Amino acid sequence: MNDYLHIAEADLALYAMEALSATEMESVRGHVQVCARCKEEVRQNTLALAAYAQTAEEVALPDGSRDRFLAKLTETPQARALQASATQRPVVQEQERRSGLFGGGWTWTLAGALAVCLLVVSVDDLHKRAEIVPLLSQAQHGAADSAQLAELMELLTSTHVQKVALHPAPVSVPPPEGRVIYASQSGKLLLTASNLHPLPAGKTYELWILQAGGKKPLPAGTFAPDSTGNATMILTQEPAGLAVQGFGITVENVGGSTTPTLPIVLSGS
Amino acid sequence: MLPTPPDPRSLNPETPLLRTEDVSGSTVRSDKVEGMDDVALLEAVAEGNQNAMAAVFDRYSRIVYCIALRVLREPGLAEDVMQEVLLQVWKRPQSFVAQRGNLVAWLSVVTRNRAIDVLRKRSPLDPLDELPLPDPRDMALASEQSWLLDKVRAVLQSLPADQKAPLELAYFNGLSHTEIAEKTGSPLGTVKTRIRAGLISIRKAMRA
Repeated sequence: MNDYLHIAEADLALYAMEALSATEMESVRGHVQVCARCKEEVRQNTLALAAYAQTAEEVALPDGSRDRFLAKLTETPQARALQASATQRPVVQEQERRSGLFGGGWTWTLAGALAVCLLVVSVDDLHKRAEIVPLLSQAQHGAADSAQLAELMELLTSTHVQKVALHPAPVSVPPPEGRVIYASQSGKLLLTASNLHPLPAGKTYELWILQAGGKKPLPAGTFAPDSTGNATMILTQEPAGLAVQGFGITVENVGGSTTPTLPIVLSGS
Repeated sequence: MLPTPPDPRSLNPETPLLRTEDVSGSTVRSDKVEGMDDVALLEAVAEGNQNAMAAVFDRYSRIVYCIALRVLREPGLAEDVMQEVLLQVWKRPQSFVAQRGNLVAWLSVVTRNRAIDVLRKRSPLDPLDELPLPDPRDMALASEQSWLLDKVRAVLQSLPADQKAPLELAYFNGLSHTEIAEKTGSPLGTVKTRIRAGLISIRKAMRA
């Protein structure tokens, strides 16, 4: 079952599934608690199993299940205790205390969550995280407007968005790359790109929304990469309800263009 | 319409929005909390905010129920497991807030494990509140949930049958590796290796 130093990986997989006998489970648990390597292996397995579990076929909840849950909630000792304390303490005073404590912290909570989300939006490895460092810094220091953060949170966590990976036009080394998240219903868009080549004076990158049905590409916005070739652009007022076929990036004169100029630097659909 | 910052009243269980009648009836106001991220939501739950708990239910009950049903194949039992798992969040929110882990991953694993316990009519091998939350850094993965799951589904479809079946028998049917070996006629070591290989394929897909 082990190599005298570590538990066999196949057994750690079974441990994560609780598919070992009770005795074996106990034995492995004791080792994992003191072994960083095996603990990390179990952690990775657990995450994989969590994702595997979520591939279960989607079905609707039984009718009334929400009401039944909430009814059960109110029967818990915690809920009863809260009800009891609510009848004993002055409401206004307590409301002011909690409001001050949490109301002011909401922006920070949201900023923190946004920071976490942003870390992953276009991030497959640590190097790409540099793309969003400026924005991340903004969020963490609370400089960004809370309304914008709320909008971004919605965009990043929504299941009703198109996520499009942008690929390079051939051939450059290192190849530029980018990613767009676009919510067609709300017209919100996030672009992150990396390895963009520096542009001569008077030139800028421009993002285009490529519409379905051969309609004219719509200019989404211009942007410039930083000194390391990374760029991030957040747009919250793009046209909504578009039938989007893809996105493209071109090089245009500063100020932007109304029609894309070839070649297309990055595109994806 | 984008969510607005939560009304501080909605975070206070003693305000009219959160009085007992809110949660005992069917008109719980969760509009103020549904835009919160998981961390903020759990902090509100830890404050005793029943609307926040209702929002947790709205957000995750379906996936929890689907996992339980996948294992148990019996709606009544699956709902029981769903209630038990979600009530655990309500009863012990402090541990979630302190660890700031990946809530949906925790719910998924705990739900599956509890459903297997019910299936096998055994006492829980791990008390629900003792399973550690996945590392906070993995919360980032949750924010790209649909993308991630698409990749996992794709890799599952491409898994060879001799890897896919043991993984499924072990995870969703709760069979031990010995039982799988007997059922499939494969050597015990082979079963273990195939289960591990299937799991590694999922891990690779999640990193890709």
